[in-house]
Amino acid sequence: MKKNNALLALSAAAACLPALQAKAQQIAQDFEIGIRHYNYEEAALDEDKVLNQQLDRYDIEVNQFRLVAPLSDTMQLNVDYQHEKMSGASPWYTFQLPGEEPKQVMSGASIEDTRKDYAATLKVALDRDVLSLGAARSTEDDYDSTSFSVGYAKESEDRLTTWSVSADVSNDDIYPVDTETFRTRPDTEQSKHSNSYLVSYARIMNKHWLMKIAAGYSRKSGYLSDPYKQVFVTGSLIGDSRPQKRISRTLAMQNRLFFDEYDAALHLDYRFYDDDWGIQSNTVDLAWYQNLDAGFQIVPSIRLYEQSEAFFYESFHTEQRADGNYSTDYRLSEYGAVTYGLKITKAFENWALMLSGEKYYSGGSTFLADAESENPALLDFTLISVGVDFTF
Amino acid sequence: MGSPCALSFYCESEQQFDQAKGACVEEMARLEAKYSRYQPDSLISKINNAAGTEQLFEIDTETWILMQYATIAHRESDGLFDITSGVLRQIWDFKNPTVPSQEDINRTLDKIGFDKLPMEQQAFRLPVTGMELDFGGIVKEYAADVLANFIGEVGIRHGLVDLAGDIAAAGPHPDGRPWEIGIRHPAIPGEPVAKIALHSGGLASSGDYARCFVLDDKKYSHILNPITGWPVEGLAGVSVWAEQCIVAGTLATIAMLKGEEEGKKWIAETGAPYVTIDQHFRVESQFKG
Repeated sequence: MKKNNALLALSAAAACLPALQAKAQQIAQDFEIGIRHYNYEEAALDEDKVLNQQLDRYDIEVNQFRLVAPLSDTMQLNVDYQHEKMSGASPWYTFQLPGEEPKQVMSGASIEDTRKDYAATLKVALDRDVLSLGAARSTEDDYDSTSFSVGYAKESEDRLTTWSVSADVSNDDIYPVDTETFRTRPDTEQSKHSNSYLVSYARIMNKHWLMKIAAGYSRKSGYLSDPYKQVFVTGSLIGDSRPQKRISRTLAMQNRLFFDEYDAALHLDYRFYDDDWGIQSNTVDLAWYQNLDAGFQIVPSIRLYEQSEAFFYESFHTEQRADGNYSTDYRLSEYGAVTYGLKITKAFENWALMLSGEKYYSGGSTFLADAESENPALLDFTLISVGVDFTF
Repeated sequence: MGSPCALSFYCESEQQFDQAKGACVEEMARLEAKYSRYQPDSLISKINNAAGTEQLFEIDTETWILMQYATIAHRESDGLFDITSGVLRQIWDFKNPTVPSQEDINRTLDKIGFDKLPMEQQAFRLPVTGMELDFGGIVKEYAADVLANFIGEVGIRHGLVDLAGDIAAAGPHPDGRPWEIGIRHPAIPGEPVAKIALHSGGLASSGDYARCFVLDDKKYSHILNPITGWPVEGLAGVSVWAEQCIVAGTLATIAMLKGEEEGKKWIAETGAPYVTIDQHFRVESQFKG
């Protein structure tokens, strides 16, 4: 029925009126508490991919707690705490018998570990400027990490665009365990250092379309290997050994499209990643946020991922490398992955309940990947999560 | 604003209500001081008094954006929505019903025309003596939007601003029920022709039942066409919903100015939800729910 554009033209003109622009709610109006419980379960490996009959992999139970506390009209403090309990076996090294595909050797005994993450962010919002300062700490039995971040965002006068920049530094220390038994593990404390920077530009294109473009750069240096992984090469077992430096760049685009007639929103995101280890990856995320009656929202989603392999990675190393870098870690292999997700939330007066599930499948030739030799340790996992949010 | 206004808020505390009410009253006073034609020292009065002279005015951002808005409204209505058309009321005096001569009308038309204005924010003037700006057709709706926005900022999520029929909702009732708005019947006071459920956004109405006169069996509406200078034989009333009350008001005004049949057709084509009442009190409604 719509034949003239008066409504659209006038709405666009009215949207510029300063007093009609919703004061960007940079600072939360209420206290919010969020609690989440996640159960992450990696599927057992196929028997024909494993050499040592250890098929079970990681299970992780995660509890998350978040507090958002408005301190004043211009200040807000976010505090996050996360507790993870991990148990299971993890891939050690690959081994290839003549005429067969490489097989995985798993860590024999079950590994138990607990990780605790603490993070706090202080946000200061002055009209169209938002400054955020953050600090985070993460500890495991054999690992701790400290990081600091600073971010600044500015909205344009018409509040249709937002520019933001952020920088992040972190320092991780790792003290490998059981170095007496496993001689490939470094027996001294190892450190790595990381700096990352992100610039983003978000724009409200029109009433139904919000777009964000972000570019990131990150530089890691120090001990970037996995002390628990090994590589079997020319008859001997050596430690996973990676370059001492890794520079990566990302370019991402996010779109939010709103459909009045369905009372729904489509999230369509794309991310390109490229690093100097030779890994390039493409990620596409699609999610449909459907609002339903009685405060229900249902979100089906799909994520497609693929990456190329690192230059020093092999599913099984048959030759010595001049640079001394070796890894058979499946995370450095060429692979693709598909994640199917479904989330349901129900909003009540001042609290909300959420339930979500994800199924992840990865493989050497999933999505766009086309690996010559699929890494035997590529995993599938299931992630189930329940949560509640309160505002008061 | 010279008309009854009602603010309905659900508040958590007396203090919050006082804060919201205070902010609203203050904001209304600010807009009144700036845009009222009846306040001699308002910006609009100053500009109007200097019409035809060389005196230049610098227009503040808010007013300038309202002018830009009026430009779009003028364009989208093919010149029917014109904030310089207020001078027609000098010859169409609805308190003393007479029909002006065509000469009078033509003389007045010379002082009308939004496209005559030099759109210079730093150096604005009305180029013709006797020309007048009148934000009356915009500012009350704008004020409703502003207030609804304001109370949201003090944390009120359930409230309704009603400035003499220009309505803006700041969220439904706390249990999620919409506000029930009755659309007046042109001839039977207190008898709504339609009930509209308002969850959010703005609702504005325009009609000729409030002020018109009948002379020699002919009805003269107070809705005046700025191009012909004559009253419009249009709809009896139209109510429109849009995200912003100011937009709803403009659409309703344009629909009235277009005349009965054309107005009905045009408002349907905008895609905005509406209710029209024609001179035979036939109601057409395009409201969902």
